[in-house]
Amino acid sequence: MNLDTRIDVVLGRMVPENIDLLIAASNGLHLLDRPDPAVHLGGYRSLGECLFLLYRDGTRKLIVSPAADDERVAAWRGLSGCIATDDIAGALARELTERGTVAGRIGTAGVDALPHRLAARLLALTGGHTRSFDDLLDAATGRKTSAEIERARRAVAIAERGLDRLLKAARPGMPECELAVGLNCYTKSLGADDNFLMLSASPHNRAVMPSSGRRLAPGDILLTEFTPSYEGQFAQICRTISVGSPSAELEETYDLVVRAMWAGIEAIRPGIPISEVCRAVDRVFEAAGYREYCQPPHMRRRGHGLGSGSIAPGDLTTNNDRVLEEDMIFVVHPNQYIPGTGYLLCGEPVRVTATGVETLTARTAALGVIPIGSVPCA
Amino acid sequence: MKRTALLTGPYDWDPALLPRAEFDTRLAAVRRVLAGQGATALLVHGHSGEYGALAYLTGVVPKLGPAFALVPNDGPLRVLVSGGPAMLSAAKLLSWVDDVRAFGDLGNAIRDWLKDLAPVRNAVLGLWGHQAMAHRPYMALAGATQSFGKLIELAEPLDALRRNKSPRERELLDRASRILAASSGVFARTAIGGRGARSAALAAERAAFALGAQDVGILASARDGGPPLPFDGPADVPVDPLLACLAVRFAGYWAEGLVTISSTPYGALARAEASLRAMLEEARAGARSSDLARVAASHLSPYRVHSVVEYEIGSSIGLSLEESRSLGRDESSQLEVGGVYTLRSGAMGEGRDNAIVSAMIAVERARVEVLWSALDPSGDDRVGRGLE
Repeated sequence: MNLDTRIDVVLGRMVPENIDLLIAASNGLHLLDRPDPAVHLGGYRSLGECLFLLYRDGTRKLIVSPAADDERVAAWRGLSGCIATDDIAGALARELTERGTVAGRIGTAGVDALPHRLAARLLALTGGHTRSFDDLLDAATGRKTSAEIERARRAVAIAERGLDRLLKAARPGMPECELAVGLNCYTKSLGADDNFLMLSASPHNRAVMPSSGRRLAPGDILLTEFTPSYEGQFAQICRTISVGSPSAELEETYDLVVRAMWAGIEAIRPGIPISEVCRAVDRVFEAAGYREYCQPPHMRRRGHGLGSGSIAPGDLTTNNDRVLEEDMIFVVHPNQYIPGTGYLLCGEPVRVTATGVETLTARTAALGVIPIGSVPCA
Repeated sequence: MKRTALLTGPYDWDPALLPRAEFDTRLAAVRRVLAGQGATALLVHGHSGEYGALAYLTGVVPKLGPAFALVPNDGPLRVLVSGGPAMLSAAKLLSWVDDVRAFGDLGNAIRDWLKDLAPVRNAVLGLWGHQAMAHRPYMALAGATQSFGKLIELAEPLDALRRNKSPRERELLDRASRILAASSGVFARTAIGGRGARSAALAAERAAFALGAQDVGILASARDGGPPLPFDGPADVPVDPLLACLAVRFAGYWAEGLVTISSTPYGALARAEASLRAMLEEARAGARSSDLARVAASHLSPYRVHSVVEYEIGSSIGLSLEESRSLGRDESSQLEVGGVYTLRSGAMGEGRDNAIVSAMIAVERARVEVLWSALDPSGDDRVGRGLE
């Protein structure tokens, strides 16, 4: 699958909806867990806000900001006729006038994430008669392209090397944020363009959090969601690391969390609702006596899609009945609070195959240890 | 400058750098503005890419999604942060404010607070930091407040407070500038040593973080003399001339510099430097941006103004990379006493014959102090002052 195939799918949805023009917007932030319709359809990651225009006849246009992005967008080979401007609303106004597009037959996606004033201006330009195409777009185009899958593989490889570096670099006394900054620099040196790196530690965690100035200490349980982006595609691994020798209780509980993760992964195949994956994870915890912990605040979700672009299939929750399709990519992470040990992380990025599932890591989740002697954790 | 997906540097509130008294002074000044506008309360927005107003009052630099400060005209503040309640312990470290809460539904969280402020029917509610707010939370906020009173935008009078830097802020901006000097020095030496632009940027980032920077953003040429751009892929090619924009953040405060690195002197760089030098000579309290732009342009011939500085010759800088108001080329914005500014110039010729340079200045009543300058990018004459 490639971008052209994706565009054909979207055009196929525009016709029955009587949409002549789809305006797909990007706020230029390129985040892990927010959809970016312009990147998803256009493939271009703008520096600022950006609009990808798709006409019913297949014509495509890209309006990017700022104007200083002109040379970059001109060199980009994805699309001819790109415009770089400091006034994308003005450029859209001229475009709508030239094409004579009919109000009421314009669909939009991603406008809610634009800065308010720009969003209001865009909506005013279309006479306030646009229709939201967000849900239709998300439902129709959850599969990754071959290029996106390859980027996800590269991102996963970087994440695994980053984890190796973490295990070597982390030591008691080091502030969490110093460790996180060093890891970000390292993953950049490996080709990552960004990293959504959650990293926090405590003897008894309630959640994984952004890094603070807290210093690592013997007996800590270090949690990390390692999420590099390679050419705009994020991929995530989730790991738990004991600072010092793990206690028997921690090892036993972590084994439970890993088993829950595998139960979820093994349930994956095309055609099933994502909620079934979530239930497969839950069943393992329920069988171990943790039914009451299979809800917030003890857990939040059992995984999620990976942007930027589409974040399909969305969150792995029991009320998400989105049906899995081949070449969807997401992370399965039970990430569960258990009394005694606290919140524990394990998570694997996966691709849905024609008949089942492929895990993208070379080494799957296991309890990590930062050796410092014989200080037991938890 | 693209922001990172999740900020990882040292962002916990450090009272040694910004004491509570500094925030008390700011809060008092903000409340005087509220009183002058007849406002009952103030709603302040920020997110990880643009948090200046929020950090000014609370110290909070949001890491996950948007955050808000709810400021009554009397009594304690409340901070609302994105993320679940289980993550609050990390969020509380970011601020001096005691009442930090996670919000799920923004509208409900704001309505609950407004109810606590009773009686506030027909209240006037000020709004600050809203320019960067996304459409969805803005609509939620507008919906939540409409039954309590009317919203008024207070960016203009409140941004003026931010532009006037306190002695404490000047110290922090000075430290950020020295980190910029060290980082840009490493960048230049690495590039001149024959390494690729990506390697030079990584070395510069590491140098800045080692000196306590919270965040670093670097754009650089992808071709000889090309405009500064993000690194789109793993390519690491030596570039000469190398045009770059480096920005470092220390204790919330940004320092930014445009530099051009070249193994040999060349025309555009000489003109850009002459242009910046002329601007620095003219810079003083009350100087108009249009006059500074004219002086700068007069030294560029036969080159054109570089597209990077086509519309603006700089801006106020501090808790935001570009604080309002900017120094427009055709505007009469003035350099204000107490302000810290970037001044930028650039020359554009043919092919690779392009250059960009900038400086950071602090404007005082009787003088202008150069905090950093591309004319002396590694700050060699400032080395003696050391980096604490």
